[in-house]
Amino acid sequence: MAFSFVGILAVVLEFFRGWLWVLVPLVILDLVLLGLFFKRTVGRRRKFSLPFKSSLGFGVFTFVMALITLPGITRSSWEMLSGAVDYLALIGASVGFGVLFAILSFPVMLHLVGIGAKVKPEQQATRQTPPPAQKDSPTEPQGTAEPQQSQG
Amino acid sequence: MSQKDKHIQSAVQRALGNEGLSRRDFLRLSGGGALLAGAASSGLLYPGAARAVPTNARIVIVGAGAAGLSCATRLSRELDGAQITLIDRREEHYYQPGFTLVGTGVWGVAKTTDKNSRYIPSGVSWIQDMVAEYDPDNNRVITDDGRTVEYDYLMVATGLQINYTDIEGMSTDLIGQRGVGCVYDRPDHAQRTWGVIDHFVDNGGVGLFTRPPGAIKCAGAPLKVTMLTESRMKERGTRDRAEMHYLPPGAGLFSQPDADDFLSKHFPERGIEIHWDHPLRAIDPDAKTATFATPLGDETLDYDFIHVVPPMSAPDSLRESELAAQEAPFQGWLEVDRHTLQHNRYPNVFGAGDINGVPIGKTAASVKSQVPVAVENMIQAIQGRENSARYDGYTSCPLITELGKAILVEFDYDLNMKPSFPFISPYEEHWVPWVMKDRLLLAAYRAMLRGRI
Ligand SMILES: Cc1cc2nc3c(=O)[nH]c(=O)nc-3n(C[C@H](O)[C@H](O)[C@H](O)COP(=O)(O)OP(=O)(O)OC[C@H]3O[C@@H](n4cnc5c(N)ncnc54)[C@H](O)[C@@H]3O)c2cc1C
Repeated sequence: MAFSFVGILAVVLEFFRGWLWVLVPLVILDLVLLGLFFKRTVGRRRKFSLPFKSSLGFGVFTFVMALITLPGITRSSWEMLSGAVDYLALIGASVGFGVLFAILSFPVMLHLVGIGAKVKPEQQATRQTPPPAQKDSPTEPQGTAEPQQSQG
Repeated sequence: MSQKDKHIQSAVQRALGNEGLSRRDFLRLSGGGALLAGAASSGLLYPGAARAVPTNARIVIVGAGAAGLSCATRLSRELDGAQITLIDRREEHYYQPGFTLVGTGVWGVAKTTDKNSRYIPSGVSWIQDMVAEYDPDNNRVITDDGRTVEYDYLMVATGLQINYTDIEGMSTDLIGQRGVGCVYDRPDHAQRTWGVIDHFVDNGGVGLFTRPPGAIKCAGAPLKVTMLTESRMKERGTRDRAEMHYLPPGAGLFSQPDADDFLSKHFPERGIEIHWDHPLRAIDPDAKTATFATPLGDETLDYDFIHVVPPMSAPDSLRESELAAQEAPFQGWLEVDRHTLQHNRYPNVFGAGDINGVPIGKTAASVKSQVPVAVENMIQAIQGRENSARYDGYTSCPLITELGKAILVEFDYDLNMKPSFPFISPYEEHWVPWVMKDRLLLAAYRAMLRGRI
């Protein structure tokens, strides 16, 4: 019985239909948090590197937890796993959970560690018309009040 | 209409003119102007499905189960203007493949009950009644309430009937009492069965697991109930308290030879004794005994728990109608061609699902493969075309061997393995098929009802 790509997508959508009551509020919450973040950071430095690394860490943590607990959560156990297909499926599913949680936690991390110091008026002006010298610096965001934190 | 479509339309009109037919004549005769629709096929979301075929055909679908609903969704999507009527009294929709999991305490019963109304497409009329009589010579069916419904095309999707009374002493009231279980037919039966299995798992004793002769839906279910019960006992550390017996009616456990080989070795390895040629004839729930009609005569065994699987047949109304096959091997079942699923004697009648008199495949997985074939061939019949879709007998059973692992057995009429996912071995127990059965197949089933797969 061949499953087309659209068929697999339909099954995935049907699977998540039961989780929409959790997923939809979560996604809305994330979008609101994202919007709030941009609102809160008007006139402030926005830091993306540290929040990215933090959610990546959270994703890796989720991946490891999923790897350990998924067999049990599915009423099975590690001893029941046999052959490459089971281990690859477990790793694949855990990666999926890791990525999902990393994405979902990113807006939260933005609020926790992504808001920088206020930008001084002259620095704001600089931001609008950056001098060519600063443009060449790939890692240094312009108008930085705390350059040492820019790497997150 | 695109430029290309216009060209095709004028070409068709010219061709019709040469044959002395007007465009309207053609549309009427073909029941649909399929060429026009086909020419502008969208086919993006539903590969293979042409743009809706215009027709005013009256189509009656009997049965709103897995097959009936899937047919209704596909026909209403693929036809434009057809009058589609679905007949079934039942309002709830049962996800029957979940019954084995409910009966062994893995799932709660709520997960297997849904509403038919959620899946019936708008534009399809629903008569909440049962068909009592088929009159194919006059293209009509008569319902329990005496209502006559006429059709141009009929799709029979009534599933099958469970004949509890074929087992002397058995009744559905017994399920869940005095050690009698039966996961078939209804969610509450499965739930009550878990009550007695749970008791047996704790207390042990003699467990008898039966299977009737003849075609049954999901021939794997009696096996799964046996293995899951045994697995539950191991889980609770009570396995040594129970004696377990599996009693098939013949000399095999499963129709697919590789799976049969595996199970014939696997059961004894788990201490489940197989008693070949033991069809259940009667039970005495007061005495807790079961009588089997063996080739050597009746044999009566004591039990503490018995899983009764009664014989099954086509529903009486179909079995007694002209639509039923008159001769063995499918006597009483809907007489369809095993590949086209079109009735052998009434070309405007098609069948989908358990009702079909075909060699194997009374599973939801078969429904998934049969419905597109039956629907496509019906549409081609409406268009006056030769039917071209073929069903190869595909069926599948995620054979749960223990809580946490299963074998995904998929095969066709030739009993050859037909794995959907070549990387999952159909010969070995794996965690992945268990997760599929436990977590994913319900979603696949719902996608099938919506005509998405
Ligand atoms: C315990 C159990 C376990 C199973 N496990 C699996 C599994 O693991 N995998 C799998 O693929 N399949 C499994 N199945 C089989 C699967 O559920 C069926 O094959 C599938 O539901 C058949 O679909 P159907 O539409 O033919 O019949 P059904 O889904 O039974 O629907 C038939 C419908 O027709 C209606 N009807 C009957 N008579 C009439 C009438 N005269 N007039 C109007 N309506 C009528 C009924 O009310 C019903 O709604 C299992 C089944 C059971 C019982």
